[in-house]
Amino acid sequence: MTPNRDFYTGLIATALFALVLFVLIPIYVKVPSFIPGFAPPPNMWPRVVTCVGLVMGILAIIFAIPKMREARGEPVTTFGQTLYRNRKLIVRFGAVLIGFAVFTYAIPAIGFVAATILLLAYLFLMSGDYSRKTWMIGLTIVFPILLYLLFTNITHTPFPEGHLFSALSADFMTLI
Amino acid sequence: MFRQLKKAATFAAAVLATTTLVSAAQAADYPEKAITLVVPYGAGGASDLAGRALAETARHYTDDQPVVVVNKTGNGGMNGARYVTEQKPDGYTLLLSRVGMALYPAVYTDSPVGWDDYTFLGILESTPMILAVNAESDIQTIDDLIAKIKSSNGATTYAASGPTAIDGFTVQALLADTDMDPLSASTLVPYKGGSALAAALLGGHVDFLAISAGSLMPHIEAGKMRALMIYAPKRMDALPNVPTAKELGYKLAGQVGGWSGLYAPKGLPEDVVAKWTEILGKVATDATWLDLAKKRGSVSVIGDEEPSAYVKSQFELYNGMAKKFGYIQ
Amino acid sequence: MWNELLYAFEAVATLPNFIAMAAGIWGGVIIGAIPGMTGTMAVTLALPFTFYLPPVTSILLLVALYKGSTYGGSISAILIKTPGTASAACTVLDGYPLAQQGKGGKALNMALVSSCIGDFISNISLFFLAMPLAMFALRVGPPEYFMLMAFSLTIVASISGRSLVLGIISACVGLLLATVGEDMYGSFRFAVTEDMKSGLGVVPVLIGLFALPELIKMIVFRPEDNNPAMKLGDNRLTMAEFRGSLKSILRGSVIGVILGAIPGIGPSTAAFFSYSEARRTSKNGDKFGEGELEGIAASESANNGCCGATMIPLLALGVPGDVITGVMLGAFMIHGLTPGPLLFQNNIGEVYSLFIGILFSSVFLFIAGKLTAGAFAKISRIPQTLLLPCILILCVFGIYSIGASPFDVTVLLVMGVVGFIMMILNIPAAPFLIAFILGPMFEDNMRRSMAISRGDLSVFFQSWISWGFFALTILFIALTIRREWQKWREKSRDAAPSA
Repeated sequence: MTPNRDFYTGLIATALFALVLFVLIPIYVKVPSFIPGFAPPPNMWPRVVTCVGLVMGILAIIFAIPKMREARGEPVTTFGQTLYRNRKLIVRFGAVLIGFAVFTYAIPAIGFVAATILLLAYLFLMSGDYSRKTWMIGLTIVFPILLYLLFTNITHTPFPEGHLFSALSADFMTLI
Repeated sequence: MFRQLKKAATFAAAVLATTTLVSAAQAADYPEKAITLVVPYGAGGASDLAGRALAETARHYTDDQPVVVVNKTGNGGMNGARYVTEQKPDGYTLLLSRVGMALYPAVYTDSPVGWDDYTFLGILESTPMILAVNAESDIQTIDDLIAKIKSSNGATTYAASGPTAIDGFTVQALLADTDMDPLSASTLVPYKGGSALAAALLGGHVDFLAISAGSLMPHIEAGKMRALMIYAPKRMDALPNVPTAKELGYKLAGQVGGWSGLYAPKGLPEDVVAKWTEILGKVATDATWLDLAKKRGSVSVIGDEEPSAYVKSQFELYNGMAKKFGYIQ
Repeated sequence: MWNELLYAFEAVATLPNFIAMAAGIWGGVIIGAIPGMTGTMAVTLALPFTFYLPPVTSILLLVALYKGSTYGGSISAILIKTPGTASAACTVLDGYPLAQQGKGGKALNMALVSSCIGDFISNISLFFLAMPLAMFALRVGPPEYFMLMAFSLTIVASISGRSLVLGIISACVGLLLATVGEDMYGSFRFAVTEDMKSGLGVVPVLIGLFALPELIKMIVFRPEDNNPAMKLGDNRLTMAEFRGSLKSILRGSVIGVILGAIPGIGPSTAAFFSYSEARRTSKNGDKFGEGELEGIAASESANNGCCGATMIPLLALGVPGDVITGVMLGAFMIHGLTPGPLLFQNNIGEVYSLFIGILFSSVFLFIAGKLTAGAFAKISRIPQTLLLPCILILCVFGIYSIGASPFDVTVLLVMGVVGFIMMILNIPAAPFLIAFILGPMFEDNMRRSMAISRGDLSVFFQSWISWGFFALTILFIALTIRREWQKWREKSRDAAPSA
């Protein structure tokens, strides 16, 4: 597994730095028409860094090859097989990603406290250990509210209230 | 599908209307909770101190509701400014604005916030800027400096926050006034923050700079720096012998200067505006406010300028310069 | 002078001053220990109070908060792999493995002892060496900074762990992400959205990179032994262990003092610097990163060694080196005191009172640290499945309140995912972080130097400071290459017979 992994690491790093060097820098680093003095332009440093990274990525691939040869005697696992064997893990990782994404969109919509309560509940559910249910339910509700009170009183942070809730409550008020 | 969309739109409009109604109804007994004052620059700097001084003074006149300072930094102050403009116009989120809020839209056509995307509550103080050299330098007067810049063919260096920051414009305006190319006659060396700029001049790493008085006064008083010229409407009490740019007849440089103001999101209800006019009127004569302003090296100007006309003139001034210097076409 | 000192001692030894210091240190330790709350936040929160306190008391309060939070960061770094402040990131490397081995109490004690010693040495040098160190700091211009940063980047070699190549890849990603946002001349780089124009914050990146991968790992792999309720058996720091690390503590303190006195460098760089030096010279160097007490000693003595020393440029020159001393400058000015040479002429009484008060603060730090660490150590008994999600929620709240910015929360989560992927790919996280912190200083000073010299490269070799750092950089690179070469040869020799 390890020599295989080093090979993939090198591959991913090479691809990443190549993408930055040839695609992202030309698009997202604008060079001004005039640079005061003779200072290097803004794209010079990112280019140097990505070039070094690219070389290192290729080196990582080269260093991994002899180790892979060594391991040839052992049953070789292809990338597809690895993925298939770990499909359960990949699904869980995807679930974490979705949870985080939903959370970031939920903050402006339902407010900070409600969003953190949901995130905490989701993470507890995902942890796979339900031996302390009372603790989990208690913490899910109490902990974010406690933190909210603590932070609003000490640092006076203006936490988002959420469009949906403020809209609903406003509607509610007019109904009364 | 379209009907649903339409339904959603009417619902949204109704919600919007009710929320504004609610906030309008609340305005009568404004303020009834803590007010957040957003300072768009870092803690400990000149604008942060101005914001905190205002918060400390104003809370005595806000029916005992605290004014809480929150620093929201980044992107030349526009991050904090953008945040405030996106808040509900209920008077509970205000912005301590600086000259940057007029300067940035004047220089960047793609500015996230326009110069007039606010309700202007007042101009608070003017902060003089000082043109200074290291005390060990052989430059004694402003004429010496100009002669040296002219003869050096671009090799002199000055420190500034950036070419399009206010402390870069101070020098570039002077260069333009003396018929030099504002961009290449002297070399700009960027540093972040007033103290890093001052340190660069103290250590002799640059030849001169023109930044806000608050960051330079301690060093001038200690005899480590020499003040050559002041960017302000009138001379400073602490430096009675240093002429202003206006006196010396510099057309553009004579108009450049720093200031702080108080802004709110656009569409602030009339009575909240009136309340703040009243509060600022009381702050203007408050001993704490005046004392803190003096210690920062700035002059309180509350009530002297009509805010929207002043900000407009500032925007036009810097917009004109940005075109002249070639930052925008 | 003695009369003045005696007078200053009487002036400072008042109850309000002691209360301010004790409250400041303790509050600082607690705030520093909470992930997502930083020393900067503590100092900013306390600033309004200083309007009403006498000058010496208010500065003592701010200094105490600063010191307390710098130490406090190590508590959460050791116990829950979440550095409370950036300067404690280096403490994670050996502290967390120790905690996993059930030696958390021992690690906490080592961190406390070395923090206090570093702090005390820093205070002494503030007292006696303020002027010469300030003069040295002033001579460090852009070219010298550049050379210093070049040398600091070689630290990457020491904290790369198993593979230098992967360490450099990690550092490159860090350097690249540090360029996001506005550059020094006002051009935007990689600013895909409006929020990205102001760049990525250090705290969300730091916490995302170190703390979140543990949570994601727990969820994805659901380890059988889910609650390795850490043993708390081995808590005492023995005299032999202390003596073994003493050299690293002293060296770390000196590194902290020197780097602290130069404006803008800061305690996290000092900690990594000292760690790298300790690893290079220690006879246990190979065990660094697996739970070596000496590593904690090196990093903690250096970051607290910075605290007193950052006051040097502030007091002697009126130049604050970081945000925290910037806030202190504001506090001085509110009271009509202007730091700088004039302060020593006009207000020598206040200066001496301040120095004496700061000397006392080391003692307060020890007591407050001992009490707080003891209380926090109980955290390790909480099962991971309950603890890790709560830590994330705490971090989310803390990070949001730094700048009231939802974008910072997004950065935290995204960096957590990146950190997890790096963990899977065996890429070490520490080089990423140090590169992320040092990168902007390296690039800015290179561009500044070139602007000043109008493109002439000889600007980098015009002072003995530059030459000194240049020589050190070359030496270090040569040593690293030799070490890698030897490692490679040994490996191929081992491999040869089996082939």
